[in-house]
Amino acid sequence: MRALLRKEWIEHRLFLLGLYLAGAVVLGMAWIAARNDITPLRAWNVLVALYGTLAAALLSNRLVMREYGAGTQLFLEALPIGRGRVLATKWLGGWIALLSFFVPAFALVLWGAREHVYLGGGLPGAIALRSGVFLLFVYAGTFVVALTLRLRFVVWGILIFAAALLDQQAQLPFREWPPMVLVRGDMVLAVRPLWRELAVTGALAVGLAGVSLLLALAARGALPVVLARPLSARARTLVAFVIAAGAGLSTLMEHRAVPPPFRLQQAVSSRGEPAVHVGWQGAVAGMAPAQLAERIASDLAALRTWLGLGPLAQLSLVPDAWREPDEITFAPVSPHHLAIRAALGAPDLALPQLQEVARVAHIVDQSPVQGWREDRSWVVWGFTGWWGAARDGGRRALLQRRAATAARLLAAHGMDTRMALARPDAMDEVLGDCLAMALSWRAVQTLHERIGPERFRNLMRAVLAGPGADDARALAEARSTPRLLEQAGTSLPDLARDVDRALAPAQDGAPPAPAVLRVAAVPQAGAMAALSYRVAGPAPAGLAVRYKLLRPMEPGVDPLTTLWAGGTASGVLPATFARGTRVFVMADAPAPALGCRYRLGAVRVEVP
Amino acid sequence: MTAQLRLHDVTHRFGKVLALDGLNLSVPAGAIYGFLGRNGAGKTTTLRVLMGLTPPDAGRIELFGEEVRNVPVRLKQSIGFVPQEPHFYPWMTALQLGRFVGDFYPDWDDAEYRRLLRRLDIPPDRKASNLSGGTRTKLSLALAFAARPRLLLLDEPTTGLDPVARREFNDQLIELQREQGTTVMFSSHLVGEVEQVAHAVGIIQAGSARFEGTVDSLRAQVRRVVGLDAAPGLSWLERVRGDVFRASEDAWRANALPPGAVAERLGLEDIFLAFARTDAVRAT
Repeated sequence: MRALLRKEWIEHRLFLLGLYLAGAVVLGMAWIAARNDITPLRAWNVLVALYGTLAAALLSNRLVMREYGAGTQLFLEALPIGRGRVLATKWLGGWIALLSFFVPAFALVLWGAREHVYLGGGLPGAIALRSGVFLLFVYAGTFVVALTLRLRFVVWGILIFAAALLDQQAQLPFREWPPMVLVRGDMVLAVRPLWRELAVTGALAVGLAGVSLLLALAARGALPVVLARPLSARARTLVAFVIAAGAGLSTLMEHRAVPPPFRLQQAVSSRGEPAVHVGWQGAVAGMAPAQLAERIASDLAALRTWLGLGPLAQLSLVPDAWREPDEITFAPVSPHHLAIRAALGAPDLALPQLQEVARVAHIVDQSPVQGWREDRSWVVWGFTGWWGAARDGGRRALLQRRAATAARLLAAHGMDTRMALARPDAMDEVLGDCLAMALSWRAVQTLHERIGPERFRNLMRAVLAGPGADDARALAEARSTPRLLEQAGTSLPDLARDVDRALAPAQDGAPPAPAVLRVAAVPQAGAMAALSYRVAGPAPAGLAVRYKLLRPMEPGVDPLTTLWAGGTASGVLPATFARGTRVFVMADAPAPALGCRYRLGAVRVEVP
Repeated sequence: MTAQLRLHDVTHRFGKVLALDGLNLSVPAGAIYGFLGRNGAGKTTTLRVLMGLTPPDAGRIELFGEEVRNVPVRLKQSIGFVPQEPHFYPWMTALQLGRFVGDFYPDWDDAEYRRLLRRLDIPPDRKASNLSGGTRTKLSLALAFAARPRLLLLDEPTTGLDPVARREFNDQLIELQREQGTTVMFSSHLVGEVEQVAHAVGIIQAGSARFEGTVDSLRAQVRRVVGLDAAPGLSWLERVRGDVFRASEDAWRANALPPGAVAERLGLEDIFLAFARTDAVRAT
């Protein structure tokens, strides 16, 4: 057995080295990603579930194919050693090679996490048990598949197809299968081992190891020899036909068992296209639901024609009484179906804002490749505002007032219009959604006046109705908004100058002055700190201070994801924070003259 | 001469095909035993049975004086094997192969192995994948002899070699066998090769032995009788095929043929053809 192990080592050492290096890279990346997770042990979870599966499959496949695929097991058989021992040595060698990476990696992860996680109470043992049994199962399973040699890809296909069928059609979710339960998220949190899942997975692993032995010894060792022969042309054709037929049948099955669609009970729907469903029986923004559905549908239909969009997804307006009236959000529900959540029953729900969100939802849905790319987000919001205000003088006047206030606030924060349009995420953070959208509207309105209706329409089509994800042009072409502006005969700096000029007369009004928001750390025991805040000056009515923990690489701050901190001019955030944590704090207040909330101040702090 | 290996009524089936049909064999110790048979006659199956790779369905195997049902790994340590097509690890050199194979044999002689490499002109540091077919076969022979086996089995080792390489291989086999005194069982369907190498011959057809003995005794026993239409009253003669008859050497000497009939000596190839073409592999 020693000679066999030595042979396996020499034969596979370079491959193992590569596998270990790849594992180290995966572990490093998972560790970085897990730094701000609930526990850094999450890196181990990722390593076992993803890398472990891949490594076990690759290793077992190589161990089998290099022997049986090349026919060298015939050479081994002529030596005085039993087939069972050859297989057992190979199997054990592979398992030892896997553990040779995972055991030190586990020790390293525990060592790295020792100051962040309480490692007593049997947690390391529970994690090790779950990881070990899962890896054993995966390794034993992939070894069996590898032993089917020329049929292994067919077997893999059948397994994946069967798993997908069971998962989606048979109400047996993949994540609920005992082996998958072992490596789900609570793997690195739960101290109590899942005995049932461990027993089932362990028994499966033992059974699969037995199947490996049976396959290797079947027909007195002749089965692997037969299986190792290449498929004949006829067999390949048959396999290709079966796979194609299986794939075809699977699409039929998908058609026959469509997942239950999202459907609002007792919704009022539009008769025109696109379908708009309003899930509220009472008046919405002072309008009957049926009338609202028709109005939104006709507005969207006109928008589609004007922008040259594809067929629009149906839209459902979902009531959410827990929201503020101005907290209107959208999300895709399923392919070709969007939902907007809003406080539909709120008396002060703004219909123009609801319509703007409906337009934005469809524009983003029609250009998934660009999505929320920062350089065009001001055009998306500005255009939807412009579309609604084009035939509504009152709305235009209100947006103009808001835009003027936005410009003043920007100046107070040391930003100008050009900078705001170049960095819309920063603009949102400083101004809040309402004023940022108004400034965007002003920019688009100015653009329309500057380049004329025809070029404006072409430009909007280019920016907003870009190629979809299924269009190959989207891969080769990244059309930035500044470049499209230049193609339309203008530029961002020129546009910003015109916007400033258009807003100058309104600066004389009485917009609210920006307040100063200060946040200070108050050290607590250990490495923790509390954060106190203070808004300079008297607290305006309706003041709301909110905060949010910032994660690495997180772009803008969505106000809906912030947490309530208080409604007074000074206070302490209701949480303690570890050293190095980054926190966003903002203060909003309603401005009756503007008809919406504006941002008094916003700061990002890092806990010292 | 004592027998190193005996098979008693060994039977083996592959599904419906009867590959060995009550095969009886006896390989004398220290001899080169030529095992002749057509393709599909059962030669490879016999050797696989002797290597313990294919257990027989029925019958007994007597190996080194020990009777076994199936050849265990313990006895395989005393058996060398040269296959028709060696499946070496392509990345191993001859030296690495020697180190690897040597770990499985208690009597492995590494010095002898190195000597054999030199003698058989095998480059020790070249990978097996870069060796020619003839060199690979010779490497297989070196590996087999370096294990100091008591019995060496060769399964048509020269198939695919050109005539020069085949002759060289056979010469070296004879020399090595003489040096070590190993019992050799050499399967082939090439009569000339067996005639050159073997002391004793066994002819197998359809899974059962048709003849066993020395080459000389085979020549002496099997003769063509010209001018003999029928053989009434010639009970000492056994018709092999057509006008080829078999009788003991003494019987040929002691009995007279009818008038007009003349017995002619045959070459080994004619004798083999007479045996081999008498029937076909039977399927039940």
